[in-house]
Amino acid sequence: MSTRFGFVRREGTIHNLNPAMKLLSLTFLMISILVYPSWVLSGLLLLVNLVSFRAARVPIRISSNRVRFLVIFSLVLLLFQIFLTPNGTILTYIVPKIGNIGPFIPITSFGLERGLSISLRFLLIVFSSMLFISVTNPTLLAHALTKFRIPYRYSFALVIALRFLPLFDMETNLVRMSQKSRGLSSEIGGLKKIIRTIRYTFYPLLVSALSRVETLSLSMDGRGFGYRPERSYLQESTWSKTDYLVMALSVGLLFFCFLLALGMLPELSAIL
Amino acid sequence: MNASNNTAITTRDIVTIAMLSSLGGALSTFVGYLGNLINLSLGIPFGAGQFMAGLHVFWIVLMRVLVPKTGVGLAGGALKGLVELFTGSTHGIVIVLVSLIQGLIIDVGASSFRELNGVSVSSQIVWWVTAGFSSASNVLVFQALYFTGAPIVYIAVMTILAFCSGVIFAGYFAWETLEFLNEIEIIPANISSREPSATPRRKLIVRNFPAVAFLTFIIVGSVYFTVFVAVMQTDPYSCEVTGLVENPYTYHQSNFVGQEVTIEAELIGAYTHLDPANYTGILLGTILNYANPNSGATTLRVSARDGYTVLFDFDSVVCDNRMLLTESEDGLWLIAGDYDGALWVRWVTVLEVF
Repeated sequence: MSTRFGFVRREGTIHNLNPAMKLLSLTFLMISILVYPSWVLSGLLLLVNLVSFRAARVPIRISSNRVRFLVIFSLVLLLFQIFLTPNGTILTYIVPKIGNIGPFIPITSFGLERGLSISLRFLLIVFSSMLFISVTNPTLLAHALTKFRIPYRYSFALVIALRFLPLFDMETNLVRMSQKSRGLSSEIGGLKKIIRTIRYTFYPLLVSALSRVETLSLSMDGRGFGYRPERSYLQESTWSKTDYLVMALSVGLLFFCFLLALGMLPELSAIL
Repeated sequence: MNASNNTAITTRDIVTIAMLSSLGGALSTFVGYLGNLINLSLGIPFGAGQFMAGLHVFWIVLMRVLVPKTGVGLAGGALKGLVELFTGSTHGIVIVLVSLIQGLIIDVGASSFRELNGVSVSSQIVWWVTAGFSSASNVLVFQALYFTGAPIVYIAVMTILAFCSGVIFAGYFAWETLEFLNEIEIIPANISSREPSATPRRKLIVRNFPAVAFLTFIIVGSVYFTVFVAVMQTDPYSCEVTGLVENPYTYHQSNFVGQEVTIEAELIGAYTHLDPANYTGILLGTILNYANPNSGATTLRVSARDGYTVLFDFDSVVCDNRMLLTESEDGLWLIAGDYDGALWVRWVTVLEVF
């Protein structure tokens, strides 16, 4: 499906980083921001993230539906927290005082901070993930996982799943177009109709997918897949000095956030 | 389903898991589209899409049933999450965590009746309920990440909706799908969701009665707990008095009858103010003294339901006769008459001395 946001093949420092290291860094980033949920830190990291998009020459199309949805959703999260948090310094009221009625729904400094913290955290996690998938070759990631003693037979499942995705995308479109040509449209009026709609779409695709299992597994077995504990690769992921440096930075960030959360860096906590 | 057979995983098993993960990833767009259709039909921006949550667990259930080995739910969940991440899920890497937890729950549920052979009513109930819990877990993960402070009723409604969705789509519908796949001989004959269909309809109804009764009990019980028990447990008119005290207790204004004080106070904030008004409640000093604070206490931390906390000098609070807890329409308010407006706290839940 053309609307999918996926791997963008380019040559560059960020693209050439080890895929497993990128996955670990992404995980550490997520944990860090959950451990110390500060809007200032999230904002700074988001800025670094956006600069990385630029450095990796991966375009973020602000006008695209996906990015627009993300920004709108983060605004909803912000408003949600503002409405639900009455404590803190009151900045203003959404409904001002009119005569003897009101004021209602205060906007407070704490609500704003909390809203910003959560909406920026959401944007940071999602944009970091978008950067990760746009600069990471999934096949190389599967290989990189074998370095962590994950047997290649298991990590290969990721390669198979991603390899078949475009085919299933195409088949999904085909099934839905066939349904439309027969006058069937997606109906949601009642549980029965929803289940019928799902059944009409899922069943042909399931039959198609499971029919391929036998052929593919026999073919793989026939070629000796899994016969030896090790295998060779056309492309291999390696660890460079830059990888170790980025890894050290990620671990450092995690450690730093734990220290901040434990109140061991009070001067920095006041700023961040 | 057959009992778990933990022989080494075969190439066929790996390919089955990969194919179903791939298909789950490809159809996640369609599921999102259906969720949006439901939101639109109800005229709400989001939330009703939780009714489709079970369709994400559907794939994990299929994987665990078609490859009946311990750990397949977890591995399948992780793989499906990674596929969705690589297809650009709007949840980012969080989707891997969500799928992983869903897979883990399915695995735990499936392992709990591994000794049962064939499809009995009890194993079917466990599958359906497990699917429901697995589906509901996504609400809790997202709540912890993005909806902290959301009203418990809202979270409960979403959780129940997701649970029902799991029971319907990852339970009932998954079983129907397995039956279909079995009929067209795509899956081995020993994997079937139903016993031979010679059973009379009346007997079928009687046989399924325990399952229906159990599900009804779970749903009614959850609603009852949410509406009555949970609300009572989070009584907005009570707060905990803890920390460096000899007698920690739960404060209720009704325990201090006759000790109410009325003060006139004006909220003066940095940007706004509330006109002087009378507030009646119990002095903070009285409340704290009832707990017998230790002599070394120096600070009082007042925490609110929304996570807001403020610190006061303990000695000043104990002898302050313009600082009280009052009952407002939405909970306990700390009225700090001689302090800045930012130190007035709504929805007080904890008074901690340290």
